[in-house]
Amino acid sequence: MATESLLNVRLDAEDAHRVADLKRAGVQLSNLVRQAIRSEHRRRIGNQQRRRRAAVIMAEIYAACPDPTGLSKRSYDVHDSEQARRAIAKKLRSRRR
Amino acid sequence: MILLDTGPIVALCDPRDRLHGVALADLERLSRRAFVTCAQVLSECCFHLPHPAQRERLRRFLTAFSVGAHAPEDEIGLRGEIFDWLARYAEHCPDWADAHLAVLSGLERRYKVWTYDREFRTIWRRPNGSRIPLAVRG
Repeated sequence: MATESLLNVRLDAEDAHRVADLKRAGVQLSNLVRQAIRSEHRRRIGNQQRRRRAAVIMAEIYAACPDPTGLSKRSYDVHDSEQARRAIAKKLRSRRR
Repeated sequence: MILLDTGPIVALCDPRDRLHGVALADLERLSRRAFVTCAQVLSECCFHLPHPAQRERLRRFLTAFSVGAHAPEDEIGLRGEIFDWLARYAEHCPDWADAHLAVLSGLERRYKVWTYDREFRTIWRRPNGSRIPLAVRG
């Protein structure tokens, strides 16, 4: 049998009035609290876990295939299309010789 | 559906790339979406990632994130459209991979292009002249 835990929450007068209104309206407070907890957990923790998964996968890939010692750094910026184009052209020219 | 350009892939597979951190953060945000790319982009990636260790990282990245290969139904027709697009932007000297992505973006409306090339924001448009939807901000 699953263990159940009890959550006690202190309420100020204003929130206590709101709770009384909700009870009168037929809202089951225990369900309301459970739903709020699940929703907030999804929003805060669920997203973190998904994000962590991508980072973890990439970390595993870097660990499995590290750069060899002494691998020289690229001499041009891939994200500068002009530099990238010049680098490709240079390599093609050097192959033709 | 996210259509991957060369820049983000190279940045992810090369921890020394200046946009590596940006690409990792973008990957975390986008990793729940389906990824797709094309052979032209992978060809450029292999040029920029010449070492076997870098290419193995590329292969593992593509596998781990199930990056699909765009397979055009009408490859010959697509080729014609790419040449038309290249002619339209000839004064800016676009390359084949950029032209391919721009044309695919017009054909597949659900695609958002993940790129760090500023031309996709400033110059390149779909064949019909509309803006190319992008997956990340510049």
